[in-house]
Amino acid sequence: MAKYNRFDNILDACLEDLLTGKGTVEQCLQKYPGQAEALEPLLRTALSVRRTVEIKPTPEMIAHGRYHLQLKMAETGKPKHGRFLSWQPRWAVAVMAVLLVFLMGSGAVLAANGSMPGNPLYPVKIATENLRVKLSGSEVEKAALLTTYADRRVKELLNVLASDKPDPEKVEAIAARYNDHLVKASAITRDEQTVAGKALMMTATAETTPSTELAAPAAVPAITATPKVSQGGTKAPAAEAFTQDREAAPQLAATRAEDDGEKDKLRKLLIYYGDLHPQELEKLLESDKVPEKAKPAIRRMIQDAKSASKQAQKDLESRRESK
Amino acid sequence: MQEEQDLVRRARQGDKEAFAALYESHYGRIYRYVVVKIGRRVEAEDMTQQVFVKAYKSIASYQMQGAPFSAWLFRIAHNQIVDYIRRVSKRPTILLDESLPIPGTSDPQGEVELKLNFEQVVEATRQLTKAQREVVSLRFAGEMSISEVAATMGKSEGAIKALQHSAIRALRKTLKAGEHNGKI
Repeated sequence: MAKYNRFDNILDACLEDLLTGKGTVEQCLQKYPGQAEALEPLLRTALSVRRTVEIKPTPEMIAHGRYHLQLKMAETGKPKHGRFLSWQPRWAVAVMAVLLVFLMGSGAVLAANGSMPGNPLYPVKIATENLRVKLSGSEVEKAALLTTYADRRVKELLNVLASDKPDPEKVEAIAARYNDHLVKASAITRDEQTVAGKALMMTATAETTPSTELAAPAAVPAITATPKVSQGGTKAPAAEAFTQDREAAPQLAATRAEDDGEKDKLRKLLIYYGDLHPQELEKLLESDKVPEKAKPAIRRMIQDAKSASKQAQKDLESRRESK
Repeated sequence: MQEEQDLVRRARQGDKEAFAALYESHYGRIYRYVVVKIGRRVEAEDMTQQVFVKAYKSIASYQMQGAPFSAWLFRIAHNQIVDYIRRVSKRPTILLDESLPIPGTSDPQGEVELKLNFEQVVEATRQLTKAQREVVSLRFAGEMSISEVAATMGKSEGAIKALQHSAIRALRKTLKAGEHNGKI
């Protein structure tokens, strides 16, 4: 018994070195010449098995999984630490609503609306957005706002990258907000049938639905070459592909929607942006405007847009099947 | 390790970013473990996602003083797989996924090792006992140390080493029987 235990220990010591790349089969055999004959075939088998199962998930797979997880986290509603409004009493929220209505008409808030990252009024813009989402009348309205803001973030990114020395930290912050908007919007528009456990049913059809099957919503404006003027008054070349009325799309999608069609319109909008944003962001990556440090954040945005689109497609398919 | 403990502590308090960081660092190992055990890539991807969703939902129940976080995750994965196998066992057979890559064949050392493909390995592990198979999956696909495997399976390190030994011996026998070119 002791003999076996000793051999088990030697085999494991050698395996540990092999698996962690600290040693080779030959080194191990030299170290334990008395056991070399018995060790060699076992080590070679173990090494072959290890190499065969060394399957690396693709970055897209990891990113899609992360998005799915974030979606579930948004739905689960764990304790929200540090969220300003979550611990406010109802009367405080009501006061803030009145304040918001009052402020919305004020010059500062209106001016902040057009501000870009780095501008002193930009925090006001973000705070106003957050408050509008918090106080929105319905979940669909909330999702529409969040989708609008996701699109805004892309425009802000283009603006940031149009400057002489783009700041990677600003890009990171934009990417984080973009992800947050899309995850929350997706969580709202998500079809209950595709939520719990359905992923495990592993239906290949839902996975492979081509995005081209779904047309962009009627309310989404066509992309034209209308030049966009940046904050400082100079043209932001990368932003030229945007139309001025682009932000009207989600509001229209939400307000014109009828009953059960509301979420579908938003899903189509997410699919639309899921095609548009990656195209724009990939163009940026191909250009020489993006600092190396900012590229991972932009790649995450691309993946987030695609994941949101994929989820929206699944939901639409699911609804079609249920009909 | 300390950094992971800190992430786990924050995740238990509801910090989603901390949980996302845990996801990033463990995804690959969990995915490999699942794919080796079920032999199908698409299902493994979905199931790996589900493992992390379950972990997030029940992270409050994780005891920080007990087994390592990775051991806890692998236990969730194991339970998911058991449920999956129970479900699909009602169907005729589990088909192996032919789209899986065959890594590691370009290494010159491979010349003196068994030339295996993924299907062969998965098939061979199915000839092992449940415990042997678990050890192989955790050790080679899950990249766990012996102590982590022991913590996950609730056995002593000595018992795991013995299982590892017998599993490799049995794998060799099965794989060698399937080898026609007499490389080893």
